Formats: sequence, C-alpha cells, structure tokens
Amino acid sequence: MSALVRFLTRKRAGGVAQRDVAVAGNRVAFGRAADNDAHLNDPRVAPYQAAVEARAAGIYVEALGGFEVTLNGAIVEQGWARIGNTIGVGPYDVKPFDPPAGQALAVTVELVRPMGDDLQKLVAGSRLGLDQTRLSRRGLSWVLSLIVLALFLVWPVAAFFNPGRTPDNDLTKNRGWRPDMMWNSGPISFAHQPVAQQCNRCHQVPFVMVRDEACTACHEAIQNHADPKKFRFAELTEDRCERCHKEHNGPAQITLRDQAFCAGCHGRFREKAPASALLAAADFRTDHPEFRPTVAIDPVARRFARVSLAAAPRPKENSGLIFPHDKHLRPSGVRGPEKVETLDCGSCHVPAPGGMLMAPVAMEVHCQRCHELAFEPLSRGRRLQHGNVESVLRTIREYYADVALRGGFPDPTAPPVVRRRPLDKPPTRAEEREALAWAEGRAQQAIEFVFTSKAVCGTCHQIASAGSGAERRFGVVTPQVAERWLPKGLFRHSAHSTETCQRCHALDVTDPARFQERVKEAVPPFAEAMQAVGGIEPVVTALRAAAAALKDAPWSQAALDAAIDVALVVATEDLPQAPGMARARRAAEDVVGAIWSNDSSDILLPGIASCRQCHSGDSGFEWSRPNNRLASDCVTCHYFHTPDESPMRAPPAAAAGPKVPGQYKSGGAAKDTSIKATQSGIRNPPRP
Amino acid sequence: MHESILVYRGFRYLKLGAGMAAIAILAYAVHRPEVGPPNGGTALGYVLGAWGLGLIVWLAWFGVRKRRYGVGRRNLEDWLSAHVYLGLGLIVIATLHTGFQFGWNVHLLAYVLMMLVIASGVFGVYAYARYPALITENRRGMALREMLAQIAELDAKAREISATLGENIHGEVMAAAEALRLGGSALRQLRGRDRNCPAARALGRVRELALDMPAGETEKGHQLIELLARKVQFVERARRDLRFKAVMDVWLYVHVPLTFALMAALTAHVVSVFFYW
Repeated sequence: MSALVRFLTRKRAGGVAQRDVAVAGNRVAFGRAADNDAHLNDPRVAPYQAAVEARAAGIYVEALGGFEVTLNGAIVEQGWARIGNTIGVGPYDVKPFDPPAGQALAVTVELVRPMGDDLQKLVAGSRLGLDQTRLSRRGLSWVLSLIVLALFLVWPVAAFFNPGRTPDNDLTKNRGWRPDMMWNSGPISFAHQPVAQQCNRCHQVPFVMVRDEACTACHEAIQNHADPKKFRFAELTEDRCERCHKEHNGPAQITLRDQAFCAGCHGRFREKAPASALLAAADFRTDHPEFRPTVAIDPVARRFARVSLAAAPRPKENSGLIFPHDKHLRPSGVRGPEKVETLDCGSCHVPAPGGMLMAPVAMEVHCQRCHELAFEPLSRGRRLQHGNVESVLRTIREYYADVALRGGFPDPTAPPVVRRRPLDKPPTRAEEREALAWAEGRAQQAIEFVFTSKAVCGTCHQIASAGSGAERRFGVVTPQVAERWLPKGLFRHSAHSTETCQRCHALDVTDPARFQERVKEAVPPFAEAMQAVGGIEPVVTALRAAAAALKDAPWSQAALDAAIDVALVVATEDLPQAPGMARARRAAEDVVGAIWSNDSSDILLPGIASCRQCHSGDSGFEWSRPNNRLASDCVTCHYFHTPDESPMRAPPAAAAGPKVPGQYKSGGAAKDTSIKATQSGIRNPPRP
Repeated sequence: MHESILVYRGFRYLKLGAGMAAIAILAYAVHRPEVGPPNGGTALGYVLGAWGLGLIVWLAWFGVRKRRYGVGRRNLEDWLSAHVYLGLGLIVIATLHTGFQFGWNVHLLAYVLMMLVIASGVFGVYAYARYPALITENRRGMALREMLAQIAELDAKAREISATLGENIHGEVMAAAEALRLGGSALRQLRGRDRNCPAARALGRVRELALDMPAGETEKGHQLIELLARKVQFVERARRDLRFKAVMDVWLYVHVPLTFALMAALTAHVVSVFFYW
C-alpha cells in the first residue's frame, strides 16, 4: 500500500506544474520538519502539524500536537474528509482526489496563501529586540566615560593650572569650593583645616610627593630629633616629613605613633648611638629604664645631675631649700597668723596654666603670711624684703639709724639719746654720733641674727658667709627648685586630676623603706601615749595589739598597717576628750604624717612602677598588654622634635612657598623656654 | 549552560575568588599602618589598589575576549566562570582598598561605579539562569519569526472571512492588522504588554458587532472571532518572548557602559592620587 502526494504549483503564465511524491503506507504526515511525508517548507507550518490517513471508513484527518487544521474552513482536531474537500494545513490547501489504482490515498497540496506582504509589514513595523531600539551600548559608553573624564579629571587639572590659584597667607579668607576638592581622599586633620581649600599649598608640583618645603613654609623652625652632627642617621635627616605625618585621614592627629618606629633605634640604643647618654627603651611596660630626674646636687655651684630613682641608696637632691613637708601637713594644722590652719598640697602647689606643670611656689604668695621676715621684736610690723640681700642690709641699717635719731626706742640697754622722748630738743652733734654708733651696732647684731639664726632666712635657706666680725658678709644660696624633674618626658598633671597627690608623691610611694623606718619610730611613742589615755578602750586595745606585734622583729607590714589605721582614727576623728588625749593625738599625727617627707633632700617622685599600675606600652597588638592598662606609646610622654635642637630642614627659599609670618615658630610639642635640656642631661637653672 | 558556568570544573573559580578574598582579608587584619588608620595610601593599600585595578582591567578584557573565537587555550566557558567569580572577589579587594574611608569624591565615584557594574553582572547571571527556561516554555518549539508568520497568516485569513461580513467588521479587522506593532521602545519591550493592543481591541469590537449579525452570517462570525482570539494569543506570546529576551539583554546595556564609565573614573582616580601625591 502506498499513497500519492501531488504538489501543485501555479505558474504566472497560467497552467499548473505538478510534482508527485510516493509515500509508503496509507498515511501522509504534513509539517515543516524534513522527515514529514509531505514536507511543507513554510514558517507558518508547525514541524508536525497534520496527518491524513486512508481508512476503511474514509479519509481520516488528524491535527497533531495541538496545531490547527481546518476541514472545509472549520477548525477540527480530527474528522473525516471526502474526495474534493479542502483540508487546511497552514497556508496550504490539501485536497483528496480519487487515488489511482494501487494507491490507498491521493492528495494534492497547494500553497494557496504565499507568505506575502502581511508578514513583511508586521516585521517592518515592529522593533524586535533591544538592538533595534535607540539604546546603544557603544553610545552610552562613550557618553558616560567622557562625562566622567571631563568632570573628574580635566576640570580639576585645569583648575590646578589656573594661574589665579597661587596660594596666599590669608587663612581667614573663604575660598569656597574648588574642582580639585573632588580629589580629596579624606578629611584634612584638625590643625590643617585652615588650608584645606588650597590643595596646591601642599601639592605644589604634579606627580611629585608633597615636599618638605611645603611643610617648612609654615613650620619653619621644626626641630631635629637629635643633634645631626653627632647622630648621623638617615631616618632622622633624610626621611620626608610625610613619612611620619600622613594627611587626609580625618580630623585626628597626623603624628606617627608607632612604637616600633621608636624602638627600632631606641630599643638597641647602646649599639646604635654609643655617644648618647640615653638608656635603651623599647616598651613602657616591659623595656624602659627607671626614671632619672634631673636634680640639683650643688646649689652654690649650680650643678645638676640626672639620677636614677632605682639607685640604692635612694638618691637625694640638694636644692638649697629647707622645707619639711610633714610639719606643714599635720592633720591638726599649723599656727597661722590669726588662727590654726590646716594645709593640704593644694595650699601651695597649684597647676600652672596649661595644666602640664605645677606653678612655682612663691615665698610672697605661699609662705610669707606666716613666715613674715620680721627682725625686731619691738617692731613686728617692720619686715624685710624677700630675695634681695642688699635690700635686707639697707632696711635693717636704715631702721636702726632712723629710730636712733628719732628717739623713743624703748630698749633699756640703748643710750639715753635713743630712748629720749621724740619731742625733746634735738640731739647735739655728739649725741647724734653716739646714737648712730649704737644704731650700727644694733644693725650688725640684727644682721647676724637674721642670717645665722634658724628664725628668719635660715628657716628655709642655706646661708653663705665670708669674713668675720664687722667685715662679715652674708649671702643666701638661691634654691634650685626644679620646675620639671623629667625634662625629657611630658607629664600632664591635668590629665591625672582624678588621682590624689598622695597616690604618687607620698613617702610611702617614693621611698617605702624610709617610710617604714619613720613609722617604726613613731609607733612606740604613740603606743605609750595611748596607754595614758582613758575612756577609749577599743582604740587602745587595738593599738596595744598593734604595738605588741610591732615589738616582734622583723616588723610585719600587717602590724604597721594596723598601727597606721589606729593612728588615723586618733589623729583625724573627733574622739571624746580625755586626759592625755592631746599628747596621744600629736603622737598619732607623727605616725600618720610619716607618709609626708620630713627631709628636704627627698626626691618626692614616684618610680616607673607607679606609672605602670595604669600605663602599659603599646606594641600595636591589643592582646600583648593587660587589657586594664592604657596603651601608652612612646609619643604619649616623649616628643620626636626636640625643643632647642636646630631646625630640622633648611629654611625654604623665598620663592619655594608661602610663609605665614609669626606662626608655628616653635613647632614641637609644649616647648617650655625656661628649660634648657641638653644631651648630657645637665640642665641650666630654670630661673636666675 | 547557566549551571555549567557556575559550577564549572568543580567550582574552580569560586575557590579561586574566595581564596583571593580570604588572602586580602587576612592581610588587612594583620597589617597595621605606620601612621593613621587603614587607607588606600598605605603599603597594603597600594597593593590592594594595584590588585583591584589589574582585576578590573582583566575583567573588562572579557568583553574583547568573548568576541574572538578560537583564540587562546581556554574556552569561553572557562573565561566566563572566572569572570563571574573573580568579579565577585573584587568586591572584597576594592572595599579593603578603601579602608572603609568614603567621602564625596572621585574615589567614591569609582567605587560606586564598580559596585554597580558588579551588581548588573550579578543580575546578568541571574537572568541567564532563569530566562532561557521561560523562553523555551513560552515558545513551545516556535521561533519568534514563526509566531509572526502565524500572526500574519491569521490576519490574512481573518481579512478573507471578514470581507463578506460587512464594512464595520471588515474595517475593524483591516485597521487592527494595520496598527499592530510588536516590540518598540526598550521600555515597551521590557514591559511585554500593550494595554492598547490593536489585536485585542479588534477582538472585543468584533465580538460586540457579531451580536447584531444576521442569522446567516453567525457561522462565519464565529470563525472570525476564533481567528482573532488565536491571533491575540500569538501576539501575547510574541510579546512575552520579546520581554524575556529584552530582560536577558538589558543588563548588558548597564554593565557595558558603566564598565567604560568605571574605566574613566579609575583613570581619574589613579591620576588624581598621583597628581596630588
């Protein structure tokens, strides 16, 4: 069995061409796919669209895959056709005709609706795909990149070369926004914000790193770290400023704080710089020498030395001043001009402006209310000027000459002319001579008294004298009191205002051994005095226990502490009045007051261990330090640019950049001109 | 294909990209700048910057490479897989390069452009993973051209039938065929729908007009309505097809121009940094 498919093609001139295809079997499949029996090559036809089959009952028409087939114009899914009917498969008409002999089925196939203008028109009127729209990747790319280049590259560069942009020194002028600010990689540091509108003030030459001249234009006197003649290290003289001072990281400081940078040299300082007297240091907590304050050792010759607080025995200073702290800090107070006054540290020591140092103690302000410098018991209001030996001598001589000539001086040992009533007849020449001779004698006595007794100058000062008798000359050794004990360190008292003075400066901190000795001396008299006091049994009992414990050598810290606790109660609390109480209280004050130095030569500075209670080093890794300690790098206490060193960079040529007159002359941190620190550690006196 | 580029050679490039990011993160965690906070100007900052710049140039080179067939040892799949994963790794490297310092400046512009390029690329990966299946499902074996041919065919048949159904109906059918436009502007293609679709409107109108048909014409009327309804279906399918293709293409219209804008911004970024060194 086979079937015949006859393809008909109508010719333009009329007439029909036909092409017969024989198909095996009695079924003909229609579709665009090439393996169909009737291959219909038209996009409107589905790959497998229809089948026509000769069956016993007739010609069976079937739509395949849900595609459309019509039978005489009606859409069918399947149906029966007869000879002469029209089966529509897409644009093709399929018509069964009487099969020739031997064939089961015969159909003609004719393209009746050629693909024509409809499709073309539809395609032409449509835009299929983004590539047919006005969007263009190439165009967009050009536009965007040119805009970016113009705005963010060309414009700022043009602004840089604008000749009107020479930086000037009027930092108060608001220059407004500049295109090159779009390049600003981050906020300017706090101190440099006044020049933030002038990029080219620092960035002077394109593609050249910021030059040191840009810095020294303002910081013209910034000092060397060390004397470049003695210490020739490239990292001290050749690195650019910018190595340590990086801008555009926000309003914080722009100082290099890296401990490793300092430790690189100072950690192995003996080999790195054998010429220096400094000791090696690499980390405040683990590798830093004990403090070595600069102290006076001879106030007459004005000699100073750096002494280590670690030295044994503990070093002393000799400033020429005599001042026992313990006498002035007694809990029960000191005798003031009008009443008993209780003093504390702040009565004399007040912070200097700026909070770094303590202000100097001044005789006129802090001492003279009590230590009045009177010299004549019959005339207590008459006082000497402090700090001027010539004035003292003149004042005494004038005073006695005056009273001798005026008369009325109530001293029974004086000659009559001096004692006469002031309104009597004037003295004769001979009497005047006698009076003045007496006056000179009295003045000489007074001068001897003022300088040599412990009552006036000698209370606080060392006295120097030369000659003897009437020729004897006196002088007061100028005390060399330190304003800064540690001139190479920067200690801010104001930053430690939450601490008590005692925490660092009491004797039990600065010299624990001597503190213990003093307590041991003071406790037995206290215990004895307490024995005599009645009515405060619990205190006495406690004290007796402490005293008993103290008798057993070696004295234990616990026993000392117990004694101090009791003494504190007796010295400071309002205990009931009892016989012997006053004496006991004085003895208790001796115990308690042992924390205050009784010797002017004590150096009342804490050792590094005190600082280390709160401060650690800062290696940069948090886990390397106890986490309840402050991370304190070298720059916390030390400066890099050393005051009084020579300028680090040669002053810039006049044309190199703008100068800001009168600004930043000193550069480095907190320079104190009263202190002359030198490499040897010898320091000139702070005041003449 | 989408699966194969993501899992290409057992995630070889995912591992490479993640390893790259891990190295950068580790270096960032360990590195401590001598002065100031981490930023693009430290030693590590320069390293990460150069690394990122090299990556960006290499990633952009993909645009050239994919147009050159049969060049080089690696095939395009290899390149694309690397392009995707190393591009994602770039996020970490560039972000660490910033040291998390952002300001309103050319540097932020470059960073934002880079992130937008990467984001559009990520959308591209998503689109290539999702839409081919939707397209296949929608086409059901027909190409767009065949759908259009069907529409034209249905139009022709409808015109033939409507010619005998009076001026009003014939006019509607003719006008609808005339006015039908597929696709259009990028937005219309992406929307994939036309609320004033002439084919749908004509169907509605013919349905109304068919109510008043003389009894003898109803058979043809039904045939016409069926033809028009089938045309609307094809139109909708064609539009959906266009929409899917547009979505698959549109991210490239962001990805490529922004890449060029990024190159310009990077030029400005690098030049400005060294101009004001």
